[in-house]
Amino acid sequence: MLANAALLFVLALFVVILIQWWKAPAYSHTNKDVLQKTSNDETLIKPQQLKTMQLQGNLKKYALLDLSGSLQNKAEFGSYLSIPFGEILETKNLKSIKRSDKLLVVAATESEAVMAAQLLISKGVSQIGILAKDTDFTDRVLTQEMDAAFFDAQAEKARYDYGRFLKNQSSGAKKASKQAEIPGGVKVVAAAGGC
Amino acid sequence: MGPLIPQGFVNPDLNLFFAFVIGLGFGYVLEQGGFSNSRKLAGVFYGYDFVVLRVFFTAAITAAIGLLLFSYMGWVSYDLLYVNPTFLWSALVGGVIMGFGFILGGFCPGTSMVAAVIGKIDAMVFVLGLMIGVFIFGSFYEDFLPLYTGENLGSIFIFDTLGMSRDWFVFLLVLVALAAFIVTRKIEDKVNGLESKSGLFAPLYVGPVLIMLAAAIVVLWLPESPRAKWFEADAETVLHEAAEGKQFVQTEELAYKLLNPKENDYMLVDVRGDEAFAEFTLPGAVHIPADKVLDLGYNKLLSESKKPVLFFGFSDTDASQAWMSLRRAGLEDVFVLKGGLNQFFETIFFSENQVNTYQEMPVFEARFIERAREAFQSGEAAEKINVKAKPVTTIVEMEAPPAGQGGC
Repeated sequence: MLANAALLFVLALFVVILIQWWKAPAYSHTNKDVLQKTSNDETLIKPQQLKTMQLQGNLKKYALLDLSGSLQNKAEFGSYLSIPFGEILETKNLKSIKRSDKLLVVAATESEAVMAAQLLISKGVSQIGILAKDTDFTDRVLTQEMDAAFFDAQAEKARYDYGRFLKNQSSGAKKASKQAEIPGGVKVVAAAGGC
Repeated sequence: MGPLIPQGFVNPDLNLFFAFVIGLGFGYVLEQGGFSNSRKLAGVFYGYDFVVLRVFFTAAITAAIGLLLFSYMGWVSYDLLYVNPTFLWSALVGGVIMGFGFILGGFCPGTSMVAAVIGKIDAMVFVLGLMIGVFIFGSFYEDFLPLYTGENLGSIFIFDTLGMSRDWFVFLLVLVALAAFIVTRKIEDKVNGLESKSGLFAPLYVGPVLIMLAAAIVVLWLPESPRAKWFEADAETVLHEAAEGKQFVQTEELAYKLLNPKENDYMLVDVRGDEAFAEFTLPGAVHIPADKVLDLGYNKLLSESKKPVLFFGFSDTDASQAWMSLRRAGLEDVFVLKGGLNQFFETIFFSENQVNTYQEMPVFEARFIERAREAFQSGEAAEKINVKAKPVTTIVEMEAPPAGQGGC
């Protein structure tokens, strides 16, 4: 009877694996891998980096995916694709995106470009860079001279002294990353093995 | 899901209780398997009964395959499993002592307890000897220490040492185990003067053997974890929502909810870096950096939140990234503060509120912004909120035990 129960358990496990395989949506990379890749500093192309690439003539090696369709300096890039954000996963669009070895994405907002990059990576696009800020800013970077101070000032940061305006804000905030103690419990588990 | 204690499913205080229950089950199975009989146990050394070898091989391959399949399904977090460190000299010397004791007494520590419990005198003597050994070891612990902790190889895996992949190792282990089952059965028959049955296996074993082989092949074929889980949202759905901007919550809505805490049903999550969070955050917010939203503890906190989750950062870039990851992970009630903190402050504190119209809505909106500005600046809002964030109690910090703890 024990043997039959074991066999049933193993068979049930196989069925669960099959269901998982059948029901799971089609992605080429795990969610964690995608997040790791888009969080990587190298994926976000900062303005200074873009300008350097332009000055060194490296932009010709890249295809530009413009989700807003309004970039003026298209000629700077090796090839140019204009696809609305909501249509990037359509089969023909995805095919044309995948044809490019190295891809840069720009959109009307940086968040849209980041989300598009996440979706494209999860669908198997490998070499992808996200241009900081938006299409207008990218045009500005490409047309003006190298200005490190200006470029640095555009980085994502606090534009206002938040604490000055919103008073006593710290009263309720608590850092979630700090491990809280379990009431009446043991915090550290010494995980000794053994049989 | 597992391991159960580090992930908060089992209270660490009940650790010994579960150990006791599992111990009872283990002892029962050993006894039922005939392991309380020293003749049966010693048979493996004389060649007339290899049941010990078969049982432990079966346990090893079942556990190995089960662990890999459970890890693939996400039921066990492989990274959280504790692996005993290898102390080479104590393993060698201890192995020799245990082997010597085994063949001399006919028991190993676990089986001696089982046999003693059912009243076998030889087992009781064995347990007494075992206790004397423990006493001597304890008394001269300092003297044994260099040997005991000598040549610490760390938490190594045999497949790493052999330079092969984990999955191939398990597959080969299954093949070796199956070969051992066949060979030991033939040896047993010869030693016991029985006529060997034709074929490799008794017909009864064909099914289990085939299933074990199939499981080993599946382990070899499966990646470490599936690229997508069955509960994840498909890319088209997520894209559709993102393109329509369904994830965004406007500044005014958040301002209203901050000023009316009873109506604030959001769990505010600050996705900026540590330094920025330490300097300022919204009242009642918790801190989870955008690149960590899928980490085990944080993900559990977010997915178990009874409130909708609202991510915010300086702008909405990092928050959108976090939103997309969680949305794909199957969470539905997740949102992003449109424009982030910069737009929030821009709207509340720096927008022009002169309304040159007699239409109701723009006038109400302008009045609301003005009222919100006053409330935030005077500290009235923070006073009203005064919400303490829920502590994270789901993950228990793991710490390796001192050198040499654990073992048979």
